[in-house]
Amino acid sequence: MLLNCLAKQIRALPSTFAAACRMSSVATENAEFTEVEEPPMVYGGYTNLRQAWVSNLDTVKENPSTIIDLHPQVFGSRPRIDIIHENIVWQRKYRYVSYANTKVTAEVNMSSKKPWPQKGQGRARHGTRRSPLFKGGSVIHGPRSHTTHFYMLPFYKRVYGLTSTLSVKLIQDDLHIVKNLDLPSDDPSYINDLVDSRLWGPSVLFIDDTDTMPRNISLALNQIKHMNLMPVYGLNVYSMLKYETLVLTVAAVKKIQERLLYQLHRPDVHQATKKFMLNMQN
Amino acid sequence: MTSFTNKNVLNLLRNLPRLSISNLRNNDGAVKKNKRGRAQHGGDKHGHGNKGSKARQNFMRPGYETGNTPFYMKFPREQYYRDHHVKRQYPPLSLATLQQMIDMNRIDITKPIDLSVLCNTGLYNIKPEDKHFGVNLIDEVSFFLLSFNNIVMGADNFKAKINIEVQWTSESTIAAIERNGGVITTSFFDVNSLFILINPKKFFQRGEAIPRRMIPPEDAILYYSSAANRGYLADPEKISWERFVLAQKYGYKLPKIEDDPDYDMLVSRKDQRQIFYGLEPGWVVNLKDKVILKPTDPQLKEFYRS
Amino acid sequence: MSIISFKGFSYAGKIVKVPIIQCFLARNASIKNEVQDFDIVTTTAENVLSEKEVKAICDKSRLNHGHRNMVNGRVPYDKPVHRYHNTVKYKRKMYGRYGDASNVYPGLAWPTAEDLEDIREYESVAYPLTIQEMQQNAMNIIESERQAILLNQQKIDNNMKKLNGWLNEVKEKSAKKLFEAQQAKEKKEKLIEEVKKHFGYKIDPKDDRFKEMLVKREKEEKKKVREEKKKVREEKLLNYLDSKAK
Repeated sequence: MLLNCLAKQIRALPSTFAAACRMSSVATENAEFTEVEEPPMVYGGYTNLRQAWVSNLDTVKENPSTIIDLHPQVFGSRPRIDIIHENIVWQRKYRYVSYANTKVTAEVNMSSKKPWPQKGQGRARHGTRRSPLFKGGSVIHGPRSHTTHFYMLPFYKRVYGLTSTLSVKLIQDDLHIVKNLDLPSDDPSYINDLVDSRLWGPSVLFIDDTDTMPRNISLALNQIKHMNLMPVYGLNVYSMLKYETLVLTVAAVKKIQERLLYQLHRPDVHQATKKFMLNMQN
Repeated sequence: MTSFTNKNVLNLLRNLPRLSISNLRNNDGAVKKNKRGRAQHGGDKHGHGNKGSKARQNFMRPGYETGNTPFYMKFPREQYYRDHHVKRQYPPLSLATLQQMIDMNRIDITKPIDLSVLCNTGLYNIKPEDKHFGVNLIDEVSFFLLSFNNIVMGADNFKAKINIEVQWTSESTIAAIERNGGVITTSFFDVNSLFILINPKKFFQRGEAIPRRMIPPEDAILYYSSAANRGYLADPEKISWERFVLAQKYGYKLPKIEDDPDYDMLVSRKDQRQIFYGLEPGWVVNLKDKVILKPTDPQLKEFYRS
Repeated sequence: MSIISFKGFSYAGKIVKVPIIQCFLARNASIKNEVQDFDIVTTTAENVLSEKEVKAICDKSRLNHGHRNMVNGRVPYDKPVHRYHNTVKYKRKMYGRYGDASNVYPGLAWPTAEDLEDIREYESVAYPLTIQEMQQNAMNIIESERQAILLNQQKIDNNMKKLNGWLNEVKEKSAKKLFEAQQAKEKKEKLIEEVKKHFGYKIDPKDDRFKEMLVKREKEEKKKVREEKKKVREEKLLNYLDSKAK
C-alpha cells in the first residue's frame, strides 16, 4: 500500500526524476498512468496546484484560450522573503569590484626625508611627511583597489529564490503566460497599447524559451527601454522583481518547471552542492 | 516547501503591496554587523592591555615553553597510523542501506548491481582521489537507519535477490546475499577504472575509448583469487563449492540458482579487463548520437583483448 | 520625439519615433538641402536596419559566440580560436559531447601506434608480473613464512632438549668459579697470616714492608712448588730408569 502510493507520487513527478530511479521492479498500474507529454501535477489530493490563463500577444485585447497547470513546487512554493533578499544582495555583490584605492605610506608621492631634526626645534617629532598624521599623507587601513566581493550563495538558496519569486509574482497577479511572442507588427506603439490596455504595469519582462527572439517583438522592444526580452537561462530574482510584470511563454514555463523541479529532486545532491568552479559544465 | 498550507501564506501576499527590490528584508539576526572596536569599548588597545610583548606582537612560537622540553616533544613517537594515507580504503555500505535503496526503487534489481549503479543513486559516494578503491559491503546496521526504533542487523533483514559486484566484503555478507538466491562477486578496479565507473557519463563525454581494467596489486591478488571471498579471479567450480560450504556453516538451504528464471542475469559477470557490463574495452560510446564505435584495426583489437 | 513634415507632402502615415541621432542628422540635412526627400524617415524600421543588425537585435542571449552555442547544445567553435582547440584532447571532448555534429574524426578516440607503444612500455613497468606469477609469489611468501616458523619451532624444540644439560653446565661452572675464588682467597689470607706472624706486631697489610714480605713469601712458595715438581719429575725418571733396567 505504501509502496503503491510512493509509486504514484514518483510517477507524478517529472520524467527526469522518474528516469533517475529505476522503476521496473514496482508493480505498475498501467490503466491510470497514460503516456502524456507531462505527468499530472496532482498527487494525493492535498496540493497547492496553481493554474493560469494562457493568453496571446496577437491582439491588443486579451484572448485567454486555455488554462495551464503550474507545478505547486515552482509556482506555489512558500514565498521566502529572506531568501529572495539574500538572492538580491548576492546578485548585486558577487560581480561588484571596488576600485577605490588609497595610498599606503610607501606609495605616497613624497620624499621619505625626515622633515626636521629630532630635537631642538620645539616642534613635534616626525620621521616622514608621508605619515597619516600629516595632511597629504597615507591612509591607514584604507580601501585597496580591486577588492572583489565574489561569493556564491548556496545552491539551494538560489533555487528556492527562483521558486519563491515566481510564486510571489503569480500570486500578486504580476505573472502572465502567453502562447508565444509573435506580434503582428514591429511597431512599438502596438506593444505599448497592449501593455496599457491590459494594465500590465510600466515595466515588463518577456521570457521565452530560446535566445533568438521573434523579429517583430525584438525590433519593437528595441525602442522601448522599460520592456525587455530574456531567454529562460537568464531568469533571475533581481530581474523578476525589478520588472513589475513578468510575461512567460508556454514553452518557457515548461522549461522553467522542468529545470527547477530537476534541481529540487535530483538524486546527486552532492554534485550540486560542490564548490563553485568557474569552468564547470554539467 | 510545498504543501496546501502555502495557499494561506500566498493569499496573504495578494493583499500586500507588490514585492519589489525596495521592500525586501532579511530575517532578524541573519546578518551580523561587523562592529569593530572604537574608543572606550573594544577600542584603544583592542584587548591587548598595556605595553609588553603581547601588545607589541612579539610572541614566542606556539607550544614553546620557555626552554624546557615542550609537551608535544616529551613523549616518544608511536607510529599508529603510519602509512595509513597510502593504504587502500573501502568505504562501507551496509546491507540495510542497500535493502532500503532497493525498496525505495533507487536500484533496479532485475539488472546486475555495480559500483556505478550505487553511485548513480546519489546515496553512496566514493572518492578515488582519497584512496577509496570501491565499496565494502558490510552486514551491520547503517547510520542511515539508526533513527528506527527496532535496530536489527542488516544481514538478518536482507531479503533481496541480487547480482552484486563489490570490491570488499565479509563472509557473513556473502552468506546473507546467497541465502536469498543472489550472487556476489568481489572484483578489483584500478584508480583510472574507478573514475570511469563512478561517473560513466562524464567519461563518455570525454570521447575516449573504454580502457582495459588493470590487474590487482600483489597485496590484493590472493584476496581476489580466493573462492571464499568470491573473487573474480577465482575458479568458478571452487566458488560453487564454497557456496555449499557457507550454506552449511550458516545453516541455510542453498537455493538452486540454475532453476531460477533470472539465472542468466545472476550469473552474468564481467571479464577481468572489462569495466562496464555489456561494453568491451576499446569501444567508444557516444551519448549524443547514441552509437557505439568499435575499433577495426587489428593492432588495436589485439591490444584491447590483451 | 520629433514629428517631421516636409515640403509638399502631408504624410498621413505612421508617426515614427525616430532615434535622437537620426533626428539630429535629419535636421542638419534639412538645413543644408532644402529641397530633398527624406526617404529614410518615413518608412518603418525595416529599411533602416540590415539583416545582420536585425539578427543582432533578436539575439537576447548577451553571451559571446562560443558560450551561446554551448548553451544551445551546439559545438562552441566551428573554427579553432585558441591553440587548445587543435589538440587531440579537445577534439575528443567535442566528439564526446556533440557527436557527429562536431565534425571531428571519431578515430581520434583511439591511441595511435606510438601511443600504444608508450602504453605497453608503461604497463610493462607498472605491472611487470602476470596474475599467475603474482599468485605464485604470494604463495611463496606464505610458504616461506610458514617454513620459517616451522624451523624456528624445531630449533626451539632441539634446544629445549639440551636445556637440562646446559643448566647443569652453568651450575658447575659457577660452582667451580666460586670454589676457585674461595681457594685463592684462603691462600692469600694464609700468606698474610704467616707474614703477620713473622713480623709479630700489628702491621698494615698495605704497608711496603708487608708487601715486600708478601712477595718474598710468595717467591718462597713458588720455589717450594717448583722443587716439589722437580722432585716428582726425578722420581719419575728414576722409576722409569729402574723399570728399564729391569
